[in-house]
Amino acid sequence: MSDIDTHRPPAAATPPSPGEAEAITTKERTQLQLVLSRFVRHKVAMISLGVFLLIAAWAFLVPHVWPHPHTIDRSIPQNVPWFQMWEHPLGTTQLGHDLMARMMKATQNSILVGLVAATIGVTIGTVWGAVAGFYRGWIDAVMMRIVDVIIVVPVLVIYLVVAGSIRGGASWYGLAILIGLFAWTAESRIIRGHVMSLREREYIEAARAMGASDVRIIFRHLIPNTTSIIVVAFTLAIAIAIIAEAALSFLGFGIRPPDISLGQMIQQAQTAVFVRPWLFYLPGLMIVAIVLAINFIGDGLRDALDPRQTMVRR
Amino acid sequence: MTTTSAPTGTGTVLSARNLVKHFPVRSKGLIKRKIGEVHAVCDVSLDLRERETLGLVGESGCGKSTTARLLLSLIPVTSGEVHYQGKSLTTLSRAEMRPVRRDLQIVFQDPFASLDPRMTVSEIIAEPLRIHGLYNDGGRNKVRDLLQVVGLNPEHGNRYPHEFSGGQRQRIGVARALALRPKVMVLDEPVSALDVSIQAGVINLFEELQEELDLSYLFVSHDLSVVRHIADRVAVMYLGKIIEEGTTEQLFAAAAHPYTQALISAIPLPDPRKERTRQRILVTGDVPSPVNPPSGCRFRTRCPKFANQLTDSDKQRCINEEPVLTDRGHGHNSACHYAEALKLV
Amino acid sequence: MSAAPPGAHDPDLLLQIDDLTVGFPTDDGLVQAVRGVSYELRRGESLGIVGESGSGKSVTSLAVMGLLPQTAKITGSAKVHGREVLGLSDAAISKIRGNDIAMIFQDPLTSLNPAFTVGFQLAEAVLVHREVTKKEAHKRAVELLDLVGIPFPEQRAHAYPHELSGGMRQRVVIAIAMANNPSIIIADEPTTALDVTVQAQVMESLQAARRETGAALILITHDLGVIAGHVDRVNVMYAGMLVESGTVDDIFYSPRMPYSLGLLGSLPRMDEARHERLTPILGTPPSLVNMPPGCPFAPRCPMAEDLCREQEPELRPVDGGPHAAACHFSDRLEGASPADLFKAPTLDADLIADLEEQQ
Repeated sequence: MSDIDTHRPPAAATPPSPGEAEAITTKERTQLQLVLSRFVRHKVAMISLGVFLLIAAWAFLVPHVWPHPHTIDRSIPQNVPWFQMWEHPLGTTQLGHDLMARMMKATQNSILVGLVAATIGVTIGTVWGAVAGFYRGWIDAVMMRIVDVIIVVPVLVIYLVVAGSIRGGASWYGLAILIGLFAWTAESRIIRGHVMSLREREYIEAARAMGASDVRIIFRHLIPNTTSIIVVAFTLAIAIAIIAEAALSFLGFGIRPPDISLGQMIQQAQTAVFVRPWLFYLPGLMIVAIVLAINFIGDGLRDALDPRQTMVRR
Repeated sequence: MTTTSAPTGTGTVLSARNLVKHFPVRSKGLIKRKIGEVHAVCDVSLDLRERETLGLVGESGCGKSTTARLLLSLIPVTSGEVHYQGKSLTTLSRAEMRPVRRDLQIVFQDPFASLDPRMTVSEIIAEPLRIHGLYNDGGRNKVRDLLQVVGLNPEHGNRYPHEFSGGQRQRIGVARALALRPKVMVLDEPVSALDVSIQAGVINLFEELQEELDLSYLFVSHDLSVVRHIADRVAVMYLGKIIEEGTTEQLFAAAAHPYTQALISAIPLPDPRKERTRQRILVTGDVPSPVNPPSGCRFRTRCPKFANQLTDSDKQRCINEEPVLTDRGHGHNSACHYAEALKLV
Repeated sequence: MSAAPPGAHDPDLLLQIDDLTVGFPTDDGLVQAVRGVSYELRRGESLGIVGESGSGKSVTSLAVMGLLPQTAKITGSAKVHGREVLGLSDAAISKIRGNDIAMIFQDPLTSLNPAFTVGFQLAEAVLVHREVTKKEAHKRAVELLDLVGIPFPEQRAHAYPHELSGGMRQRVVIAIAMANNPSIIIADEPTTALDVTVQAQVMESLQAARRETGAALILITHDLGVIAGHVDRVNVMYAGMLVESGTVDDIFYSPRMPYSLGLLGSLPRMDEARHERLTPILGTPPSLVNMPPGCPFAPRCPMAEDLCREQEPELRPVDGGPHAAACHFSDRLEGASPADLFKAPTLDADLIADLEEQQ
């Protein structure tokens, strides 16, 4: 009978013998791999991801090879209905815009606004919620009352006032920043709730016992453990920001010509719903498609990131 | 036996004097009024000596874990003092406390909750070194060594905690606590969540580390079997108070407080013949609420002696007068007016 | 094992489990939680099933009771009073659960309805089984509460489950089990969540329930101490298999399977003064997915040989008696003590020195 020495593997090259205290029997899989494998099984989310990637590829890549600009081109025929001319598959406007080119540019802007606004909003919301949830007490009370105030004031009014005061209309990033600056209240509440339960976990107490500073505990231990919530909140925030952009542009306070957005396109076409339906319905459908796809992706991510679905070994 | 298990160094490292901790009970609703207090720890004094293991024993809610956290200044005391190497910790600011934390470490009960799930094992063990600015000085090698010391394969350092079993995770927790080379380790029920066959390996690890690294342990546990095996001295807590303390031999050979006796006789022995014949002291009822502890002796509501043996006039003393810890010889203290030594195992 | 003629059912044979397997499909493959377990329970007997987490000790009884999730794949046979229960409809099996078998779980709240007082729930159980008036049922309920050792049973009968402590709730569950007058009580880790002094009270109530109803007991636990004091026969489970079976004295004083021996050596003993070191079983139990061939304990077994890694041993009688062990070399264990077989590993002094140096 050989002496089994648990504490030192015999040599680096040989695989650990099964008797060792450290023997691991399952194959190595990172958390990312686990999440991905669960996400892939979520059919609706996978289809939505495909749809979203297609739309994004179309909006960002096709313009490079598309012969027409999104601006007015006097040389093209006007008022071409959809699916009539190979040259202008989605039709043209009465002023001589190629609708395909306009749709691509507008979709680009919508996606960009969504991404940037969601990034800003989720970042603020996460830090705000984490700090409030970590400190609790009066710091939490003050911070959450500020959130309440922002929620009570109709955000659209703030947007209108601020966006309206920008001379010459907002650029897409100006609009994105504006939306992002006010769209973090829901995130901060969710993160705060989660952090409040996380801070009672033993590993946070362990960090404290090691002498970790508050900043370190918040940024190195608490926020990384809210990743799943942040990811889901991020997808939802994109959808909300896209809708907010569309609404602002529709009201005439968003992106203004010569730049273009989906909301602005709908606004311009609202008088022509029956005469030139393609001008109205196509941007509308695009908004619906993007927002739905993103929401379903969020659903899939939430399920995939749910730790309760993890197979835990003993 | 007493002489062999007595600690070799007799200097006190960590001591607590008259620790008190009350947690407020607040009403629900927007304005949270204080409607009472949980008397979690009431007037507890302890001495942890160099290189010894002090077992702190009691049932859930007796305040043993709170006491452990007070000793580490993880929660503020309501009153009382904690001294480490002669220094008072209760008055230190967080910044002043930080260097002391290197010497005082803790291992938690739940190996699933005490490791950050988003960090790899190497990162978890490196964390204390990073916090104290020691990582750049050969931290990588140190982490590898620590993994080996606790019986884990350093090749697995880049894995996440969820890939390890309970026993392995507890070893990771031990490696993390060891990283700063502490002098005192508080072990808060470190093996209660583990299976028997795994538990033994972790207990052995603690014992060997203590011998090699001259550690002092405060071993918090509800399991008297483990405590008898690992501890040099034992303090028994009930409802926020220490009701008996002494060396392990004194306590198990001659338990004097009825609660200690009940506790010992309630632990089932893995020995069918002894189980069939042993004397049992059963207590009735449950632990009273620490919001409103009984007057006089806190154990009297469940005490078999109080219920069955004492006369009414004797009982009055239990009801009116709180028994204090008194020495019954050779440092064996118990807090019972009618203490009487009994050998139960 | 019984001498009953084929076809006729032995009335004393309450539960017969034959080659039961349970698998759970997961991301990683099929988890084989139970891999061919057979045992029987006779009238009035008390059987302990001991094993560590993941050994399949609870899953076995949950399968019999039809309490496993739909996804579980169950094969084999389980007969209650000679009647096959695997594959029965929900309605049929819940009837058996109510009448023949009572289950007591670790968490008593799973079996109590939070919306009714415990007295009402107890009286309900009494009414199902006896032709009595409501008043008499209530009286019997209070009586039962008294029998399981609940102080002030008259007042406690009017309490809701959440108003009682954990130990008290568990005793209420035992009282309800008594009211149903079952022939089998299955207690699955009934005291694991409780403090030791309360644990002693609950085990006392369980014994009272057995005295009162004459029911056979299956006590499932990881605690060898609880097993030692409360059962006649013990089944030891490891990695979904029965690895040893015998009387409580067989298992504790002459175990013939290295795993059982190792468990005993791993236990810190309160009745013995501190000895040098415990002798742990090294390693961890195998993953129940893709089990390698051979004895599941072989990777952790100090006396494993090539045969052990190739061929899985069956549960075979040792010493001709009812004592049985699943080990190719069980004869070698006659009179062995844990320390003969298992060694306590020691720390590497060089490593410690390294650590000291770096400080």
